[in-house]
Amino acid sequence: MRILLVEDDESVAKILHKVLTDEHYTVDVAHSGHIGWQLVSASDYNLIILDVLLPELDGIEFCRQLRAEKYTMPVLFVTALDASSKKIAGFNAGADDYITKPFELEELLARVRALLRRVNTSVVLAFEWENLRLEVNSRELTYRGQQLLLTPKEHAMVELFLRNPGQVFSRQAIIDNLWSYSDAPGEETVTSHIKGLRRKLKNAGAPADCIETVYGVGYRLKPLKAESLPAESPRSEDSKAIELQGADSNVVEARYRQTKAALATLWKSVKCQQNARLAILQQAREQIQTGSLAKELRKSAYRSSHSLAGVLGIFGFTEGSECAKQIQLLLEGEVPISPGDRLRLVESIEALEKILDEAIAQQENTDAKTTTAPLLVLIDPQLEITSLLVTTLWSKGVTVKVFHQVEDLSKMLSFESANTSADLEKTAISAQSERILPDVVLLESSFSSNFDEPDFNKPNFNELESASKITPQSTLDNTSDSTSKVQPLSALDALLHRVPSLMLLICSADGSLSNRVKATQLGDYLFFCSPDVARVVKTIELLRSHPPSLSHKILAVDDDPQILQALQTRLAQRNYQVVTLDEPLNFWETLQAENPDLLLLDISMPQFTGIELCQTVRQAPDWRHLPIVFFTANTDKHLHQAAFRAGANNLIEKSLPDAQLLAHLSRQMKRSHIQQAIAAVDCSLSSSLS
Amino acid sequence: MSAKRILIVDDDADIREATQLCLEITGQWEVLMAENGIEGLAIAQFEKPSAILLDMMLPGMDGMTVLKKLRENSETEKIPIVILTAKAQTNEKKVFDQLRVAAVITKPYDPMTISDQIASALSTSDLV
Repeated sequence: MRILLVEDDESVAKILHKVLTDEHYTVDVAHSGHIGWQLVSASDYNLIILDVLLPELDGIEFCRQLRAEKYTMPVLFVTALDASSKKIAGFNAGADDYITKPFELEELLARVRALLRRVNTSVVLAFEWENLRLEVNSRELTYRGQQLLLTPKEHAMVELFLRNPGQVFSRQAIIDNLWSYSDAPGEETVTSHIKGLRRKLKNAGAPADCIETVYGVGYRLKPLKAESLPAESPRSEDSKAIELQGADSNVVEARYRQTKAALATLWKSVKCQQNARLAILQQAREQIQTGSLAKELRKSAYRSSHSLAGVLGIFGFTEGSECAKQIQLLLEGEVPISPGDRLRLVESIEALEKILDEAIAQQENTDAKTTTAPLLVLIDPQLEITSLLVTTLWSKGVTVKVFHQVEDLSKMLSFESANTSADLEKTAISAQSERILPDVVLLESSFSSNFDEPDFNKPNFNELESASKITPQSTLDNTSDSTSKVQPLSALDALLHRVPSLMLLICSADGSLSNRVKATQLGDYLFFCSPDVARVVKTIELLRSHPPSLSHKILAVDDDPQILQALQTRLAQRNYQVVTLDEPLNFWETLQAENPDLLLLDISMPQFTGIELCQTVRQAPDWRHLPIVFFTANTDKHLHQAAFRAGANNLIEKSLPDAQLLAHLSRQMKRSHIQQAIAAVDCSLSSSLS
Repeated sequence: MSAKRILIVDDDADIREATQLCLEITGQWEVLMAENGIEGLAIAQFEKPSAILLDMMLPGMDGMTVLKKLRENSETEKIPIVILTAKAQTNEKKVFDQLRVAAVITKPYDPMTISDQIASALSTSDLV
């Protein structure tokens, strides 16, 4: 049983820790409410013992937040405050019991036992497996009535298995349950304890395999044969439901969720291959209809149907899988296909065609509704939150991968070879890299020491917005890493650029101006100074529920239809949706109707100039945040300055090569999308804190 | 348990990848992969995985031949093998028994339970 003790008085905490661990409880101690909250977020506790007067977050508020977050474990207040009003406040906040200092340790232990009993729906006096018996109150462990002399950890391990019959515990899960965070050992320690325990149980007469190794998973008490189970036992030998109970169930459930999510992601990248397989079947159908199916095509169609049956079945398209199996069966062998089977083959291939179309359409529809952006969290190791963060995110079904070097992350995404602007162009919009990313990438690297100092002589993205510095060369410097040695900050910058929807959350231990300036080099992202795990987790959850839009719709306004036509051709190749307008008089209606993600404006136009249109957009509350980029051949600096005064985000030359034009637009849209996502998160965080 | 390694021998890249995901995430296996029988035999001999998941319908050297060769080789004869097959014929079942196959899983398998199926088969296999 795992207990969290939140007590700021170290001497009291020390005594209580000793008394409780002597009783074989696993105890984590937190000396402040904030640390206690981080531990609660990261682990499952059976009971919380809480001091009322705590620094930062007091016990009553702590308890209130626990209940607000739907934590149901019992809470026992231990405090020197004897006033009834405090007791009432404690109970109102959701406490289950209250003990006033000074108190007898025996009374405290009795209350702890009573509260832990309440967790179970019925009062259990002893736990049993075959002839192994654990008395709950005395904690005596016996086999065939003979007392077993075990070490405290071996004793706790047996208790864990007895309390969770049938449940498989991985070595890490055993560590999580039986050791406190401060003294967690390596997994080999568990192996050694298991060996010792097996030996002692065997010496006492228990079967050698009573603690069973579930290959590749973990350990459990070997399930008893059905007839030897007590009649009132609610469990069955291999009941999955039982396996999902208890402290390990969250991890198991999280893994199932992750597997499902990973399979859904994988389907996106393999579904096109299924169309290729279907195409072979369609060819075969055509030949069948004309009366002669070539031998080679028959073999090829047989293999395609076999593959489709397997793949569709695995990805959950059962009907398609069955249909493919039917086709496989009809194509099997080399004997001529009968007229009846030919007809069945044609019908089955047509049916499969329809099913596959629907499966892909349905999946795309679901994708559009559920897509979340990958998230990169840069964590300063000094914060010492990475381990807790991984555990917490893992338990919430969020896939996480930890890196210590940005280069390693780049290598995983195969970016190290993309050194030319042509390569960059290829990777800029591709969603390929997003497919292999987990939900959250944690990059544990010190922002203050490992990342290079900002080079103020080198134009960065923000500086590019200054009209006087817009030149093709400066753009190239900023967007392509053509240097042989990639510096960490620029490598991270390049990474963020190449994965269009990648969001960044920076958790710095040091909120100095220097670090904040470094962070701005990377663009508009969230910057936290010394956040706790709960805050980071909450933000990650919010960012995942407010992903930046992946839409890339541009409204281009220019009085020259030929320029618009050329622009449309250039951008359409990169999957941008371009709406063109050569008549500025219709601008407002078009803007409202098309709802673009970016506005591309020529400066000099008849009727209304681009600058006038820009000012008009900036005055409208609904459109104030729309990114506006001027696209001009005019080199008059005064005109450029006027464009920025009117509210332009950027100004680029019409002669800019495609790669640089795309890099500019991509960055501008990403920045806008990220700002919107951050605004939504800020709004949610403010309302949750208020 | 992360030291446990399983070799998947399947010629279909999509199925290999899906199976790899399931075994890595749900079962916490380290996964090795081979796309044909010859590659599978070589990896099995040199990497000595804790278990092999073998598809029966393979191009070139078929799954049954791979299975027999694994059992004939003293370095791989004790590795538990789980067979993946669309449909096991009666004569095949006898051979599977003779060659001490740990389990036969029918394709298409359920990705959410394959890891449990393998774990369960291996926990009762006399080769473990």
